[in-house]
Amino acid sequence: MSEPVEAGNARGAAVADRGAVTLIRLAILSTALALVIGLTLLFQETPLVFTAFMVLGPGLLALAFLLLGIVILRELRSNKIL
Amino acid sequence: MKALAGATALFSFSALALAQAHPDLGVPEPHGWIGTTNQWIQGVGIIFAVVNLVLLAVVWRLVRRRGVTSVSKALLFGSILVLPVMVVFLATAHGMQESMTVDACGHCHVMKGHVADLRNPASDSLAAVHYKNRYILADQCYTCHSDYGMFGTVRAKMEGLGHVWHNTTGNYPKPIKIAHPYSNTRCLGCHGGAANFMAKHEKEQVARLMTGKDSCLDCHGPAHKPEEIGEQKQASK
Repeated sequence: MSEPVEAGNARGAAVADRGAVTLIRLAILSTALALVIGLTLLFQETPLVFTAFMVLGPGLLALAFLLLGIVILRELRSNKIL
Repeated sequence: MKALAGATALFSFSALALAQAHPDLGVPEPHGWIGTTNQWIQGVGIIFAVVNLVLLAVVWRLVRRRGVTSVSKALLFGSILVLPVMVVFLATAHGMQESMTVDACGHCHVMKGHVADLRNPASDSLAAVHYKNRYILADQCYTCHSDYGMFGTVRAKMEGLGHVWHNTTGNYPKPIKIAHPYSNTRCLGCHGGAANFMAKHEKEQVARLMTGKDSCLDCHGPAHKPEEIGEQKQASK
């Protein structure tokens, strides 16, 4: 009886890990996009790039924080800390 | 060796950024000159951003190969929570500073004629006289077209956002006109109370200028004589 339960748990953990990896990748992409706009602004400032950075930059970073926060929360719950 | 080459390339990048100084007028730099605060913000910002992007690439590969490990967690903390905040702070500071420059104002086609007049040594417009005599050392457009104090800066930035919007959408009347009547306080912020100013204006006249009953531009205008450039020139022919 214990083998199927263990296999089920392992599969569940693998699915959770895959979900975490996807969220982390999205967070990385979001941060990278904000950084690329920031780097463009740092190299050559134009009014349009500055506006794009001010509008998109903080939003993309906030999205990355949120995604990372979800991953951390999920892990804390799976470890029964929360 | 790779790390050394990377570091060299990174410092070359930042040196390039720091080398983008203001136009060289042949004026010697003060002793021990190492650049302006803005140039350092730009250089350090570029270094942080490049390091951050490299770290993100490393984490991406780590997560793909080994899943979420303690090492990838530590790198994620640094590359998503710490470094980007610093990059955003530095880029915002640099952007704010650079958005005040004459080049930033002259970036929009509609302002090119005004900037050409400003930089024309032969022009006798009020703006050109201030520019060529270096009455205002830097950021000449911004200095004259923003009110003093924190809220003056905030208002100017908000109006700047509107200008970007109007320029991008092409939604503005031609020829362009100043949005609000030009306030004397912007002139008096520098000239008011100066010995030269007090000597050349009578007391009653000073009072009328101080209260805004008379405009400085009544006698000292026009502020700009925009030169016809490109499409404007063709359209007017």
